Amino acid sequence: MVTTNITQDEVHKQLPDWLNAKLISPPARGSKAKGCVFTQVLGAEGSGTRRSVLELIPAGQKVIWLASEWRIYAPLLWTLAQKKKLQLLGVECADRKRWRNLWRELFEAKAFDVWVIDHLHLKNAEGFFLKQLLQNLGVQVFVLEDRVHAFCENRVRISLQHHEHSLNWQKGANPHQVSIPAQYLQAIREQLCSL
Amino acid sequence: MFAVNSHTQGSERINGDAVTSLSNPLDISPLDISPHCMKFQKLWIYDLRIFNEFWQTKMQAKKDLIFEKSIWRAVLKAYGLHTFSTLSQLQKFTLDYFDHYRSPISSKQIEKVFHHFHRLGIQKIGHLQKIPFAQIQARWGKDWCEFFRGVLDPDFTLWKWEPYRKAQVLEASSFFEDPVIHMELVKEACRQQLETWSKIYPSLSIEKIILTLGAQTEEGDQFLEVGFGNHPSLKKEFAWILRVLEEHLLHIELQSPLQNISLKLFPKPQSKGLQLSLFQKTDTSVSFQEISEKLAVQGYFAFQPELLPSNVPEDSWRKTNPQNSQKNMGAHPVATTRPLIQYAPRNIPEPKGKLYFTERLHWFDELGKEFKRDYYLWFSHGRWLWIFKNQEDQWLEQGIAE
Repeated sequence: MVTTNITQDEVHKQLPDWLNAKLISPPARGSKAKGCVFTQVLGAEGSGTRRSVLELIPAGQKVIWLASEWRIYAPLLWTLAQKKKLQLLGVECADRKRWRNLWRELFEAKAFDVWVIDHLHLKNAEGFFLKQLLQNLGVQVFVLEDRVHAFCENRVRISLQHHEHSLNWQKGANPHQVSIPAQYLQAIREQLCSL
Repeated sequence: MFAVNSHTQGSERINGDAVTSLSNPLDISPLDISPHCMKFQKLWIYDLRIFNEFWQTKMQAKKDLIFEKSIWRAVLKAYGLHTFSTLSQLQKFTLDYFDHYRSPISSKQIEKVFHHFHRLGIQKIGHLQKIPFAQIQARWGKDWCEFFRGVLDPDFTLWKWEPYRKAQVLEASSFFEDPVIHMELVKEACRQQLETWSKIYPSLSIEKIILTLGAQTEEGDQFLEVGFGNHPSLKKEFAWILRVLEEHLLHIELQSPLQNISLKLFPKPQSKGLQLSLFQKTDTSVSFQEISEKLAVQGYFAFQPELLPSNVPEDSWRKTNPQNSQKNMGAHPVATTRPLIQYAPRNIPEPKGKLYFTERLHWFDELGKEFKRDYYLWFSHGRWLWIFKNQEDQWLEQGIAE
C-alpha cells in the first residue's frame, strides 16, 4: 500500500477540498452504484469516528443520523453540525425488524443528502438491501461500525494516536493517510491538572 | 387493532344520512382519518389505534365489522379463508391481492402456481405450511413468498398499507365577454389553462380531460371527453396533448354561441411505489417537521435536541420534535467542553494513573440535598473515559471523549 504523508498545515488547508473531491468522484472499483456512495468509518468507540464523519460531510447538507440507542451528547453533536451548516435530524429505533420499513420511508421522503448509520451492527443482507434501495438516489451513506462490511465501496479506519485521529483510507480510490487533531483533547491537555 | 368492513356496507355507512355519528362510530369520512384507513378491493380497512378505548369498545359491538389484531388476519377472515379452506378459494383472494397492488404477476401465472400445487397434492391452505418460505421464494420469487407468509403467518406479517386518498381533480372555467362562435378562441383558452397547470404541476400525468362547452341555454351545452390510456405527462408531452384535444374539437359543431367553457382534468392515480409511502412528494421540499410527523405515525421517533436549564449532563437536554427544538445550538455554554459519547453513569473502581480535571458541578435538589461531581478525563485501555467522583467519593463513568 502506498502511503502519502501530509503535514498538519497542509491537512488543514487541503482536507475539505480533498475530501469533497474524493466523495463526489465516480464510484470506486467494483461498484455498481450509480449515485449512492457507501463509506464505512471503522474505529473503536472513542477513536473519533463520529467527529471524523462530520469532517467528511460537505458543508450545508441535510443529514439523518440513525442509531439504535442514542448515546451521543446531542448538544455537542448539533453544535459541531451547526458549525458546518449541516441540518441534522436524529432517529432512534432499537427494533431491528422495523429498520427496513424506516429506510423505505426515509427513502421516499428524499429529503436527506447524507445518511449516517451509527453502530446499528448491520447484517450483510440489511446492508445490501439499503444499497439496493438507495442505488439511484444521490446520497452519501456513512456506516460507523467496528466490523468490516462488504457492501461499502470506501473504507476509512480511524485510530487514536497521541491525541490525534489518524484517518486511513483502506478501500476505494487512492489510499491516503491523514491526521486530524482532536481539538477537544488538545484543549483538555492545555488545562491539565493531576489529582 | 384493525377493523374490516365490506365496501357496500362501509360506503353506505360512511355516506349514510340516516345514521347518527353517536350510534355509528364509523360515520366519518375516510379522508378525515386518511392515513389510518385504506381500501382493498371491496373492503375498507381501519387502523383503530387512533381511536381511544371508548370508541373501540363501542365499535366492537357492531356485528358486521371484523376486528383483529393484524390486518392480514382480518382480511383473510373477511374472505372466509382459514387453514381448512380449499386452494380454489385462496386463488380468488390471490387474484384480488395481486390485482390491487398492481403486481407484475399475471392471472395466468397465478393459475400456473395453483395448478402446480394441485399436482403436488396440496388441497388445503394448511398443507402449504409444509413448504418452506425459502423454497417458495427460490421458485416463484419474493412477491409470492411475501404473500404466502401473510396467508400462513398472518399475525406477524405486515400488510402493505396504502392510505386511502381521494383522487385530485383540477377544474377551471373561462367566461367570454361576447358569445363565441369560432373554435379558435376555445382552443386558445384550453391551451392557456393547460399551460398554467403544467407549470404548477410539472410531474402531472393525465388520465382524462372533460371539456364542457357552455351555451346560452343549458340545453345547448356540449361535453367533450378525451381519455388518455398511456397517461402522458402534461409538461413533457404538452404539444401532443394539445394536438389530440384540437383533433377532437374539430369534430364538434357548435349549435349555439358559447358563453363559457369549463375544463376538468383527471390526473393519473399515483403509482404503487408512491402510494406505499406516507410521503406523497417527489421533490426535496419535505421539511424535517413533516418527516418527523410522518415517522411518528409509523411509530418511529425523529428528534432534535432541546436545551434545558440544568447543567447536569443527563438533564441538560431532551429529545424533542424538530418544530419545538432550538435552532441556535451554538449558544449552549458547556456543549463544546463535554465529550461526545455519554450514557447513564455506572460505578467503576477508583482509577489509577493521571487524571485530567474538566469541570465541577455543585447543586442542590428541591429537597435541599447537596450534590457534587468532579469530572475528569482518564486514559484507559486506549480510550479517554469521562469519569466523575460524587459527594460520597464514589467513582462513576459517564462517557467517552472523542
